[in-house]
Amino acid sequence: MSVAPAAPSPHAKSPRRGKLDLRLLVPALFCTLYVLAAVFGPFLTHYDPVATNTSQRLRPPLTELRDGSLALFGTDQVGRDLFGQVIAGAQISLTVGILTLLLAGTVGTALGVLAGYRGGWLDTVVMRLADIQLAFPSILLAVLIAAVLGPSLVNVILVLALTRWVVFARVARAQTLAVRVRDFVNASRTLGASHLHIVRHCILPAVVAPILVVATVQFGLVIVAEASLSFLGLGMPPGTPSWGISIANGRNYLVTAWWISTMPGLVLSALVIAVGILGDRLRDRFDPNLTTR
Amino acid sequence: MTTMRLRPQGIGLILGLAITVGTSFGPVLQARAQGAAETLRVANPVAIVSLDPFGAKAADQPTLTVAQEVLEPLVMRQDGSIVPWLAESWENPDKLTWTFHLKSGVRFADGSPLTSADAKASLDRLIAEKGPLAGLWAAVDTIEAPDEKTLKIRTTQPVGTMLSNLTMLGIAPAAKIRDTAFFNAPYGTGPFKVAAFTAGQQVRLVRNDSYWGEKPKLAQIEYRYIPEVSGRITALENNEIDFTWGLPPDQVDQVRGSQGLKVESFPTYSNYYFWFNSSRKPFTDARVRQAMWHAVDFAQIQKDLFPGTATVAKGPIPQAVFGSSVQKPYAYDVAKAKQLLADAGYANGFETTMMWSSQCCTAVREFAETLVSYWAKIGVKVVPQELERATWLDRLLKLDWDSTLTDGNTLTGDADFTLARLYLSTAKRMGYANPKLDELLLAARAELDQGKRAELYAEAGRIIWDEAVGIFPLDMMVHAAYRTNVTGFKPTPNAMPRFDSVSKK
Repeated sequence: MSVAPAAPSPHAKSPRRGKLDLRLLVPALFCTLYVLAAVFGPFLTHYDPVATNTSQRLRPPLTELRDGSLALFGTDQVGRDLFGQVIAGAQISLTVGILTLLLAGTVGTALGVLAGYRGGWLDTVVMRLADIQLAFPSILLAVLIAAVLGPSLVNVILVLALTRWVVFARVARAQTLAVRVRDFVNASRTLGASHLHIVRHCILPAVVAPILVVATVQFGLVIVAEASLSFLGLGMPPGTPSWGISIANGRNYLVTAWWISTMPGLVLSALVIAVGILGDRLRDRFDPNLTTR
Repeated sequence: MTTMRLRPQGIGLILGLAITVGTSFGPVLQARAQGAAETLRVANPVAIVSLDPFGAKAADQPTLTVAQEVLEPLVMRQDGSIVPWLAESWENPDKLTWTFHLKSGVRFADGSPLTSADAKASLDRLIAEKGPLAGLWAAVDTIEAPDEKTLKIRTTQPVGTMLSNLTMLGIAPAAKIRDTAFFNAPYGTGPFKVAAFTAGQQVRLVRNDSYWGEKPKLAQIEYRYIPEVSGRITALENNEIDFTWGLPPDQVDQVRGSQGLKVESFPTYSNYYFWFNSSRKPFTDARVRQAMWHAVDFAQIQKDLFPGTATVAKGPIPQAVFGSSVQKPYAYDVAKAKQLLADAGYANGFETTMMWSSQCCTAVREFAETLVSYWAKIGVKVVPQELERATWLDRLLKLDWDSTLTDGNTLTGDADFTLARLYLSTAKRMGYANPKLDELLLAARAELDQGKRAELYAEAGRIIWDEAVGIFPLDMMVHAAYRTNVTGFKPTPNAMPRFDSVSKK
């Protein structure tokens, strides 16, 4: 956790090819670390979210527990190891992040390309719907829907996907509008290519890069949104080791046992910052308007 | 006095005004500041969702905490014994009749005189609403008001709990009793009347200047609901509130160390309890319920989670309550628990749910998670359901749950209030039905000899305990924390602080 990612500067020079790009590598390494921790961590920490041990509650970080193990991040209000809890939380956060983006990305891109390619009333309907939805703060919308659906993993993913598809749809539509009037698309059309062929071979390849960049930026936001919903008791059900729930659990102990909220909070911030810088850098690289600088 | 009162916009606005226009309105502001010194700012630990103590919230502590300052009963329990209040005397012409003589010269806050018709209307409505307190009055046959100052209650059988039941009946004006709008700002004969109420957020009481008894020193009481414990403590330390109670054990020490704050801890009529829905499988089998009890080490939990704030319970009702008894403790014995489960046909455990209200009780989530952990060790998977209080209450009353964790308060200080209100099979509160228990509880209620009543309650308590109708882990203490300029606070074991004797320096 001690490696601080380099701060992004908006007007950094484009790196020359072949040279190490630290602003890309460091956050990418960071994210890989999180993925590795989420995938393999649970095998190492053997964290059981149900098992409590009240006789060892509220132990500060780096305390040696009675069974000889080291509580790296301390223990929480019922004596569960916070390090294991945070690792298990990483699994939940990454699962929610990835699945939400897959769902929102697929639906959003499909609708966006359709709207951009078809135009006409379909374009109007889809994009006005998107505009209406954008008028609401997305977290407010998420809270509203989550309160109706109730807390569960699937519901969180559905709710967040519902609030995120718009971003993908708008980018996909804009890119489609720009590409579909290009000469090579017109050429294909003149040669008798079907709509499906044009979308698959001409439009989609042009859409993928910006969508991936948007996805990276959105990833951090989705993870924060999941934590926020869980913090409010509307995300993951109580008893699951979501970061948001861990932070909420520590609220009443901020003065006496700061680590309960602080540790998951730090881990969450580090991931969101790393993903943010990564997304920024990817945009710098792949955005055609910036590479020409 | 009216000119000194704070407007509903609150102190914040007035402080803002003080800063901006302080010089030109000096004298006015001085007067207002004096008003602030007479305002007690209270943060209640549980949201007040209704001010109607006759309806569905008749046994709801937050509602009763405010209602007791506004509506007064005929008799009051003080230091364990019953004293006359709005009724100055009473007699029993026979075992089935109670005649109460009301005090004269008592007026409601609107100036109309208190009559026996008001008392009759109040009791009538409480019974008609069929709320949680209606069960106390099941034996009432007729209620008559032969003249303005006499109330006659006839019962179908002798009622040994009449007086302690009456301590729970605040008298509201008969003309308003069925007016739902009245209960947004109710008034009665009490020392305070409600000036403003926003459900779930705040209540503002102002002094009833025509109060018949000793006038309260406070001009106003403002109850604010601050859901976060840390928020409440911060507000107390920053002089935003003067008084709060119901602090969790982990936070009490923090407040004890603060300058300018005082903490008072006192034993109460309340306990933590866990109910099984005995009408749902697998809790229909007493062995399953007993197994769940044997599986948890409550002594350890008390030591770790509730040091100095609770004691391990000795019976289904707290020891301070009339009719309590000491039962044989359930030992922490995992092997025995597993054996009992196997005997009942659940050798591999089962899955169930446990619900609780998020605003329920001190350290409830920690307690619940610990219980879930213990039960996992005997193969019982308990899915926790933390619900918003209104939802929880709704499901509780509809019996739509497997098990629930909550706290209970024997408000009247009489075993009948808890045992006969909740555990009679006709109450349908947790699905347990036992004719033997019903018989005992009804016999105790009908007995006018208090010594015999105590014996019957001990016997009833033994059945509830041995049959594990619920798990009764802890008897609670309550911690009230207040700023040192608050004086005259007298703790009451019903854990509903009263402020009529309180003053602020």
